[in-house]
Amino acid sequence: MRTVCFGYFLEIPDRLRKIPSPAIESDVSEKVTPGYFVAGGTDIYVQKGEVLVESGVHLLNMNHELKNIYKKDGYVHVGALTTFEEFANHQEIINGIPYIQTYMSRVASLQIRNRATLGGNVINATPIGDLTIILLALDAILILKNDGESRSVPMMSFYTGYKQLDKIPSEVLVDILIPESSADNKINFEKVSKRKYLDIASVNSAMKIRCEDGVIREITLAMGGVAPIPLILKATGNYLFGKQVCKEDIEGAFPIVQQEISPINDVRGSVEYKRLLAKQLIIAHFTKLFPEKVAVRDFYET
Amino acid sequence: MFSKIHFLLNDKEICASAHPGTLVLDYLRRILRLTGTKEGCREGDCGACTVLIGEYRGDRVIYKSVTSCLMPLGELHGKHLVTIEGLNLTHLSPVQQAIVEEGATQCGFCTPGIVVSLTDYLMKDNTKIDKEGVKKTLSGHLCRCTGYRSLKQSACFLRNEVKDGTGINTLVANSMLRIFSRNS
Repeated sequence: MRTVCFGYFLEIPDRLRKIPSPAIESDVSEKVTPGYFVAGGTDIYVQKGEVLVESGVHLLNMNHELKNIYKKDGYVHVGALTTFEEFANHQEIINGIPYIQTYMSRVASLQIRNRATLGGNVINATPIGDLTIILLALDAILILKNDGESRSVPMMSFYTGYKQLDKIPSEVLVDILIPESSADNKINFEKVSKRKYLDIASVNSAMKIRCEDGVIREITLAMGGVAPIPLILKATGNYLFGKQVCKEDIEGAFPIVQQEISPINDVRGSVEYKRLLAKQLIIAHFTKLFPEKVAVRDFYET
Repeated sequence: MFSKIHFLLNDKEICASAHPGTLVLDYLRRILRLTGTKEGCREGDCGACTVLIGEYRGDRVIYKSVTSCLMPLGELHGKHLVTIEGLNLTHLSPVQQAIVEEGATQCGFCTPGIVVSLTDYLMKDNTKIDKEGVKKTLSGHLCRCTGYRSLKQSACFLRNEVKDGTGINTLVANSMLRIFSRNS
């Protein structure tokens, strides 16, 4: 016997190559045996940890093809298993959402963002999913696959009630399509939580907007924590369409916002507080994206 | 029976026949009795159970920090799992030394996870150790007794320790990652 010294880290790449691939399911949606679909697992293990080790699990991450981000036919395709960190660090995404890394610093922690997937966030259907709210504002389209058949659903019609989806259990979300944003699109995300970091939002919101000569020509406003579903503020968007970015027109939207939302009292805040936040976040969107037109103090001077 | 889960744990090859939904944390602590990885909240909040997962991305093995309390064992197939035991040297590692120098540990429960995350930070190529990077690295670790100031200082202490740069190759060359003696 002879003794060999080596830094074992240097040997790892070769040793990993020698491990035979597992017999993976060629198509995630072909699985017929019962059990839970697990993507990153960062929420389902918190909710159902005890159950999962006793029942069947379909580990979606064993399927490597659902992790790519690429541009095609006017859309940025984001594989459903893309993690939050991969999403925030990808150049295509940074091009479309310049401040994505700042927003992401408010979402969970690095270890969780290394595991949590966009698809998991969307399917989990919590009304305060941070990435869900961003994707909603970006007018994302979901591609669901079932037994080789696929169909597309606009995200804004995907949520039908609290944790209720336009999806049958055997369907698997495979792809998220984000329409390529034109250079004059502006995007902003806001989140208020009890702690600044590592916390779940009381209310969060994202807005995508395009103006021409100071007139709003395109707007999508999404808000979380104010309804049973991640909400698109349709009536508010319709009202703001064609308006100017100015104090009066923005203030005109406040009563409409209040009619559209229906927050409840819970550990993350009272109804009154969440209604106040809804207004504040709309102000924040406009004052951050159009500092030359409106300032925070405009809205608080009496 | 479940199909075997074949992976590398630190320098060892493991062929596990456990339920693929078993948590990596439970497998480490309860089956293998590797108790350096701590069990705190079991909800991914505290970071005490942080481990590194290395896997191929293109032609390179890339490591990332994850909470083992929320990761199914089945996903480890074909991957490299690094725990605190795999980072211990005969002497203190630069990260451990820095924590000692700055008095950045008291009860020590959160310390293994923090050592794992800070080591991961140094394992990335060309890390420029700065305030933002340290903040991001430590963001998922809760400490209830020492506080974070001394931890941030220990990360600054590290800056002087890795003058030759960062990355796995550099760390190995400077005996900052574990060198194993093996019989062959």
